[in-house]
Amino acid sequence: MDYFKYCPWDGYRFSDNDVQCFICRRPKYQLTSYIQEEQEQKKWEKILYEKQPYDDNYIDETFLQSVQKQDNSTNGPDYKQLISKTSDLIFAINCVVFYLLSYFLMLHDIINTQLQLYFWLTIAITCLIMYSVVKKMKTQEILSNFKSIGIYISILLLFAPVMQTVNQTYADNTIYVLTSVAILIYIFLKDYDYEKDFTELDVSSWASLVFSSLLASRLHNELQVFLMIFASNLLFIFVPILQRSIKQKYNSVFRLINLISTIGLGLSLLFFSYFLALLFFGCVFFITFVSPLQIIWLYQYKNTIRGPWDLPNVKQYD
Amino acid sequence: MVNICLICDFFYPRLGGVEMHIFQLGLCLMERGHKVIIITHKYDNRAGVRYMTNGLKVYYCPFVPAHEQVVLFTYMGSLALLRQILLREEIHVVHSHAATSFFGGELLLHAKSLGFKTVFTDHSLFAFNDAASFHVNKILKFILCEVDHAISVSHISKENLSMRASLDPRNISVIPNAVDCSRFKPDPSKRYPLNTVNIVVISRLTFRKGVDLLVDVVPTICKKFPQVYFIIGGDGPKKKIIEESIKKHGLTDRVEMLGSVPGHKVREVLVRGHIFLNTSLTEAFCIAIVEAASCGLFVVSTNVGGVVEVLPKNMVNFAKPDPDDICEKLAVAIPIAKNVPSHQYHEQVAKMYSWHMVAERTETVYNKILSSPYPSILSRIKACQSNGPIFGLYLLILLIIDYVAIFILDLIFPFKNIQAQSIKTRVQSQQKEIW
Repeated sequence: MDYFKYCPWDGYRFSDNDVQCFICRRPKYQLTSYIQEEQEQKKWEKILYEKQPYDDNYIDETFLQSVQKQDNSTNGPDYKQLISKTSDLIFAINCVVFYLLSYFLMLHDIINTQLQLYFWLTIAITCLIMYSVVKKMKTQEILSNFKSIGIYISILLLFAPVMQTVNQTYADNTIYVLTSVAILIYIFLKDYDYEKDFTELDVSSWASLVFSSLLASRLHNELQVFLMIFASNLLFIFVPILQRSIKQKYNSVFRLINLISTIGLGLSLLFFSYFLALLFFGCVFFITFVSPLQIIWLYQYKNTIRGPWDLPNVKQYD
Repeated sequence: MVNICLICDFFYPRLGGVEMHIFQLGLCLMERGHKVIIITHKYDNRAGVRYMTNGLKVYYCPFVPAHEQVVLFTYMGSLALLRQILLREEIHVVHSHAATSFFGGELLLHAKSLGFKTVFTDHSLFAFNDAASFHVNKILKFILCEVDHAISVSHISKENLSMRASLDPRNISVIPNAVDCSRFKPDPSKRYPLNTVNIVVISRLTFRKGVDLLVDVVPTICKKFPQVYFIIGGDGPKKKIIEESIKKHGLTDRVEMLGSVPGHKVREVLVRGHIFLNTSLTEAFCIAIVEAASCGLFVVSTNVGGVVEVLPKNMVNFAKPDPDDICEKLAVAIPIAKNVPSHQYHEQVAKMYSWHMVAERTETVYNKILSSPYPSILSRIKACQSNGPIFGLYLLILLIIDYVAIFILDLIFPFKNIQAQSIKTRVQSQQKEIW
């Protein structure tokens, strides 16, 4: 209580018997605000190991100084880069459209089933050869892969009758609604960054299996069912693995394949419906050229806040 | 005397930092003359009312956890039971812990409608740039828009909380965690193996605890310093990669993997070491380094989150979350590790952190909010609207539903059937004020 030998406001010297200042009438020992003022002279530190003469809810001028806000004026996304990034999405849509087109041909018996069988087997073998070339596989590995495919085809042929009947009791409308949902799930949840190695089926792959088995139930014979499921596994599970390998090593080849397949599919659709062809080309145009512009425009509203609470970038081991 | 209800999804038999905080805070508040109850959900067969040390009453409510010991956020599911408990126990302050505890969040929302004062303690840091954090932050903003006062365990955590929940920083107090130093006394005679510099690591072996950094640090240090011996305690999904790294570099005789270390054996492991290594990638406080310093170990730690605020510079070497920098800081610490004044460290830490101090400072918060006026219905509507025009409207509807549900509960289970007359009158008068 040494502070109170004198009144801090007017300098009146307290005697032992005084309970308040004779001049300003302020009480002698209840000058907490004065204590606070005195104590606040000691600079506040951002530490926890020492009780400082400040309230626990004290806010220092350094509050939020460690927060960094992203400067949106300089680091905007590049339009060309964004366009190249849309190629994966376009390729996935191409695969879906191609699959649905073959389903349509099969459902209405427009092309002979035998012919379709040869077609899909040719595609499968071509893909496998391409994969072997890109991965520079040895003859032993290639033969082993062919053997695995043979076993896989045999199992699929055995299960084809089951797959044909398993969803047969559902109404057509139900099948087509569920298929649409599964296709959307496939497109939205597909791993376009290919960050993970292919070790197990992800949600989008499972969605592709679901919509292929749903569609297969509407077909006329077991061979068609087998073809539908085989094509689905090829297009939605194996082709993305091949696509990743090609893209990593020969990106321009991938772009070329993507461009040819897009134009080819669009022209094929012209034979069936002008509207569908227009819709397809419209979608491709929108995704490739318009949506990157939208992203660039929306970037101005992106508000990234960084601070000491963010996880640092650390090399991760699996 | 204040009647306090501490609520959280995480409590005994789980034994983490949050659980210990609630338990120790409860005990110390009881020692200070307050009435404390703890509410959590049931754990396996542990359901109903249990009494712990010094008669600390714990309600294990019959709600089944949905994910990682957190109950599903149903908003209305727990109202009837929690209302009964709060009124029966004549609670004044509801104190919820941890942002990911939705059970506590639910009660914070109802407690305001029931006329109780509310406090929230945040124990973790969340970022702003990933989907999970968006979700947690949005819910937290909703839960805390009406909270009377919040508590953070570090200054960084305060900054983080004020931004995540859009809280006025004047309504956030920084009250650090603490350690029961009597349980963490140094014993240099237990440092074995002998003639080595023992580096101890005790943590959950997860990504957030920086195990990936440890994988790089251990071989480098072992190669550079032949006298170093690592003791690694803990379990988790990343344990395998450390074990593989040890085998790969032929360090099986230089690194000891202890596996999961029970809470009561942590000290036994700590006292074996000269240096404690913490490689966490994010921490709001980090009790582990305080426990280690209390056991007389020199600390080398990553300078993430609130860790830099915890110990004075003579006790710790801070490194960037980078393997090279951690190795550099360890290289500085290893030669001096055997000369560290263990008992002096222990005494210093004992003065810095104690649960009694935490309880005292928390009590100040309780007293402060109890003397503040109760919010009017208009201010509650404004608080809801602060969440945005659409979400705010949604919250307003929830608020109305809350009042209607409480009104119906008042009719079905009137206060007179569950509690003493005195408290009934007071709570009713508080509710009338709100209405």
